Amino acid sequence: MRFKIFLIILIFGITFIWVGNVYSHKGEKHERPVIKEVEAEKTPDNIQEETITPPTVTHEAHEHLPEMKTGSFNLIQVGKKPGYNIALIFTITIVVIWGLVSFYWKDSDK
Amino acid sequence: MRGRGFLKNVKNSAGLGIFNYEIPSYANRSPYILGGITLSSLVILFVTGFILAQFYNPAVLDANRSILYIKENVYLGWFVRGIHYWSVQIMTLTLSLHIIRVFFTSSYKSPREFTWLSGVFLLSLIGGFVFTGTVLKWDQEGYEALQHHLWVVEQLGVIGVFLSEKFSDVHILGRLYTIHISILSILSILLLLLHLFLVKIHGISPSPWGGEVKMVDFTSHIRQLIKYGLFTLLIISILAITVEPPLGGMPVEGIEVTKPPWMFLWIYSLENIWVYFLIVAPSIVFLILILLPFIDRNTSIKFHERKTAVIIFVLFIFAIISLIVNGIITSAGHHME
Repeated sequence: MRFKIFLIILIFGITFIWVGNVYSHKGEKHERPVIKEVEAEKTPDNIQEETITPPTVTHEAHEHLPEMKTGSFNLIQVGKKPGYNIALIFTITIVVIWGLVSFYWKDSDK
Repeated sequence: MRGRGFLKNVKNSAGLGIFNYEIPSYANRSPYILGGITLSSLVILFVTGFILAQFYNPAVLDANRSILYIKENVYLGWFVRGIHYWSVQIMTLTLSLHIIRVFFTSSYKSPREFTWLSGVFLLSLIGGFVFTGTVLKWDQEGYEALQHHLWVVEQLGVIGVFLSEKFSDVHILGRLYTIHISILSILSILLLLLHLFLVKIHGISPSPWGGEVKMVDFTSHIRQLIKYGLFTLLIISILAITVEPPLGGMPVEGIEVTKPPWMFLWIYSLENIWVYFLIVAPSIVFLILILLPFIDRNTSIKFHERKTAVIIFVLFIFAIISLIVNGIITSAGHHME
């Protein structure tokens, strides 16, 4: 039991130290985080929207055919989204916890 | 030792001793965990939904833009939205598999009719969540979903008046948002509690495979739920960091160019044949599901003694899957008059 607690603390500790290094303030004052990608480019940069010219509709007389964007699934471009690294760390943490839990409770389905 | 005594006191005072009972060991196998996985997804949906609600604006001109803002400007907003979206997909899948498991193990039969009924009503609430969630995006898909909804309530007349545009001066989008975040949430929590209470009262249904049953402590089941719940969260997180859910631009009125989410595609396929199937098909399926424990009065739980029921159910599942596939491959059509 002590070993398990030690291992969990160790993993979280290492993650915490690593995150601290990657995102250190280096003595700066806390300010509202500015996300450069978003500030620089207000419009989404990885949306591959499908542009569709809708068919004519019999019951309604359209004077022109409007173009519209229906949206589609997009593969997320690594590192482009604000907080991508944190999302990655969150997922890795879940992997670790799930791995530990599965290992220590491997007999619970017996 | 003193620490253990303290923990024991806390456990007794908090009433956690209620979990100290025995269940059959087969309840810890994956088919019997599907309900628990669905519950895990629902919890994830509530948590992420609470976060998204802080940034979403249900005003007609802002709804679509606020989601764009969430996914582009809010720190980790894209991730939370992704988790919310993929949780729904996983939950629909596990819920469907849970229903199939319950049918094949005859878990809907006496004395568990009310457990089944509470589950069927929960299923309809989940359908409501998916529908309202689709509309809230307020892109072309959401707009067209709303047009279908308004057409249905118009056909229903007095029955559907509460959900019609005429009922209130408040825009229907805002009202559907209220339904999504409060009415459906409260109802689903109440029904879920009833469902779990009934599962506890009646216990795990007997196995149709028979054989000697080993009994284990319920805490082992909780451990299994945590394990599978974490795995579910892991899959959802991986999907959320790799594939971004679709979001179109502001809707264009008077046209139909999109299809509904995949879980509604079987209705969509039928609607292509006859537009009134939009009302008739879900009503018939809902009615059959409600009446199932009362129609199927065969008390046997063994497969070879309930061949008719099994064959009909398999054909039903096959039909639903075929209609969904058909909905995927056919091009979007115009239904509303």
